[in-house]
Amino acid sequence: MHSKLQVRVRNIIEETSTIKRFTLEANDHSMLPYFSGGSHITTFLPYPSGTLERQYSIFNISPESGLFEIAVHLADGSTGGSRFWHQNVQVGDVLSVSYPKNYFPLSFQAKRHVFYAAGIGITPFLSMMAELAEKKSSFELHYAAKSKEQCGFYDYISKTYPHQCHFYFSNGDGAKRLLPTQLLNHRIGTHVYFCGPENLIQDFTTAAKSYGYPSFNIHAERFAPPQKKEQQAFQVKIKRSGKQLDIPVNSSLLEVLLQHGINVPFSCRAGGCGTCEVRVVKGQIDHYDSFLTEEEQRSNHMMLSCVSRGKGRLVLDL
Amino acid sequence: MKEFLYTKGKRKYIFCADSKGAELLYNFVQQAMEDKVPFDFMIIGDKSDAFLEHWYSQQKMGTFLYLSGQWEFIKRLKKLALEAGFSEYEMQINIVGQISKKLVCCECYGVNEFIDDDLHLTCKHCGIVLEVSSHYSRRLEAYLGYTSIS
Repeated sequence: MHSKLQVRVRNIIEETSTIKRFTLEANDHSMLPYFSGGSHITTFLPYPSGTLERQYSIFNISPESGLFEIAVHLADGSTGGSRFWHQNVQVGDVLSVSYPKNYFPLSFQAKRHVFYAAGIGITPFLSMMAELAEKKSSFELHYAAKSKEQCGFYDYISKTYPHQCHFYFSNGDGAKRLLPTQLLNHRIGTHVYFCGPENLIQDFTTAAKSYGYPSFNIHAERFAPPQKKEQQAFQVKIKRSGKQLDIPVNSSLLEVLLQHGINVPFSCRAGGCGTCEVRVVKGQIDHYDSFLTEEEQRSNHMMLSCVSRGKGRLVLDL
Repeated sequence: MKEFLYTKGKRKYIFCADSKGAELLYNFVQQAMEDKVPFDFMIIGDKSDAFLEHWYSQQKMGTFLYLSGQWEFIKRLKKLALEAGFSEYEMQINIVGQISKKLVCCECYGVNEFIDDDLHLTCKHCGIVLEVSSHYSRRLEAYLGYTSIS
């Protein structure tokens, strides 16, 4: 079930001083599988201390089909995935990656799609825009970066989608800021999609809701769980075995369950996909996911074990 | 069906009614005025589909639609609103009077009319007894009728 794909790095392009684009091809020269707009892969990076798993949105803006492309932004002080990609990966290297998955699909009910990206948050929209352009669907992009030079894929986007894109550069003269009030301009039937730093996602989501957008029309992509203000330890009781487990401040419920041989299925580990949902019989839940509906969260009967926590003690239906 | 309630926190409200459904909306209009939220109130009368479609599609996100009236009126306006881009999360409906729904026979695919509180009926096309299910097809605008085993 968890079979992996072997890919070879065909090409590396420096998009900006901090963003590299990697073109990946199947190691056996077959076509890599088709993927829908918004899809991502997990890459398995060989580290001396073990395999490091990192997720990246995939797109293919090369002239050839059957390839995956990812763009990696070198994060300040990275000791993980982005540094590995930037410093260790060379053309010709062979790596393992997962099959494509999509936790950020396009709505099929939307009359218009509007994308809000900041920085490297542009990547899922590259495949989404390509899909919509092919279907001749209506969309627009609002894309913020520090400057034109640091704006990944600026030339490609402005050339390919000249009428659909709006850029916002925060540095230099005539700086233009991307503001949530932009959300007031969209016609009925619009679905909005946010990808970028956590504060962008939160500010735009909050603004959209305050303007009366239904949650149904708001989509966001996170590759990391939202930052919690203060995390508390809590306890769980497993209903069937009666086992009691402590979840310390720096561990997730999912991690503790797995350590104790309770095999909860999981995937994104960022509260976005719903795979690791567990049923809760008793106790107060602190929800941190972006998957369950508000109604489901309020019901207090289910939680995503990768990010959500308990207040005090929970009884789980496991 | 959900209770017909005023949904707070919207940018604008649109109230559409036929002559039978208008009264039920007066409280909501009052509420919107108190909350100082802009609204349109319209008794639809003989407005054309083209007019309504254009009007609906000019609305911005954050608009909430209320429809109140008889079944045929609701069916027509709901369809136009959905086509313009409103979703079921952006509208509430109130039906005045009897609702006539469609039931598709699982045996012969024939369409039967039924009223809201029927649980069983005999297919007028093939004669088998059907149970009204909660499975609804948007495409057929009909419920699925299963063979009744009792």
